[in-house]
Amino acid sequence: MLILVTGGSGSGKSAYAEARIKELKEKKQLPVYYLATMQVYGSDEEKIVKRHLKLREGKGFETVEQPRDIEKCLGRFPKRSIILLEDVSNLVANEMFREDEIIDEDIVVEKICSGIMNLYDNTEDMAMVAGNIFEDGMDYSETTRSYIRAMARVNNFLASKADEAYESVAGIPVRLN
Amino acid sequence: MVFIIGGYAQGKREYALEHYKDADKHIMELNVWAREQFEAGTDPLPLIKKAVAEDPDLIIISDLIGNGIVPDNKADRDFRDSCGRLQCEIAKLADEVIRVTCGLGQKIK
Repeated sequence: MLILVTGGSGSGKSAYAEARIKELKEKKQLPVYYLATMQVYGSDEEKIVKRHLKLREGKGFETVEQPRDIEKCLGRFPKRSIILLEDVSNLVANEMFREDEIIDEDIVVEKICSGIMNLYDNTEDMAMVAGNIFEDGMDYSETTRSYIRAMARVNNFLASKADEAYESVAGIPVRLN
Repeated sequence: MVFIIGGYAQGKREYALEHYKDADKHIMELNVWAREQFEAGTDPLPLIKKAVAEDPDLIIISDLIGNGIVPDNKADRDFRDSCGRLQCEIAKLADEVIRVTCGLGQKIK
């Protein structure tokens, strides 16, 4: 089962994805891995990581950190495992914006889409959290627009592959597919 | 209490006026007020619970502001996150939650 949960900041998307993963874990009695993609740069990220750690406390999730090159973590999970990937927006940013260069949008999209699907093909269930970053109506630089486009292309691809896709709105999961 | 949420200028107020009797007497606009509360260091949620207890027909209208690129400015980032979490709490309290997009309302709770 592949689940995609999108939503804005503070929309409750993580909590919903985690609840679904917890449900699958209880039903199937399989190990759960939390695949964390956020790179910690400062207090904001620390706060988010702390809140997510608290949400997962006592849920028996093992954390694997992989801020980029998602295909490299393939060997770190047993074949029948359940994965919570949090989140796609950070993965796209980390792939695109390197210390000394910006990677082309097409390369980023292809790498992430194939990396995630390859991972999913080798696991039992996966839930993916993805930010809705598309609706603020603001004008951005070409670099940021390129990031938004890459993120949209990845999201659209994942939604097309997902058995269930949702948008979390004020903590309410709204089914999209 | 009814909670109506949606992007800027999507027709939330019009939806309320069209669908709820005497809506104009019960509307509370959330975002600007909530930002003032957060900036003053006040937790808005108990105040909202009190307002709902006083007026069970309250209609809370709120802009969805989290669906974009994370802002550079810390105050904007913090508000966006706090407002999103507040919206989740209000949705839990609400009898009905309506999401309005392009003037169309979807009942999501």
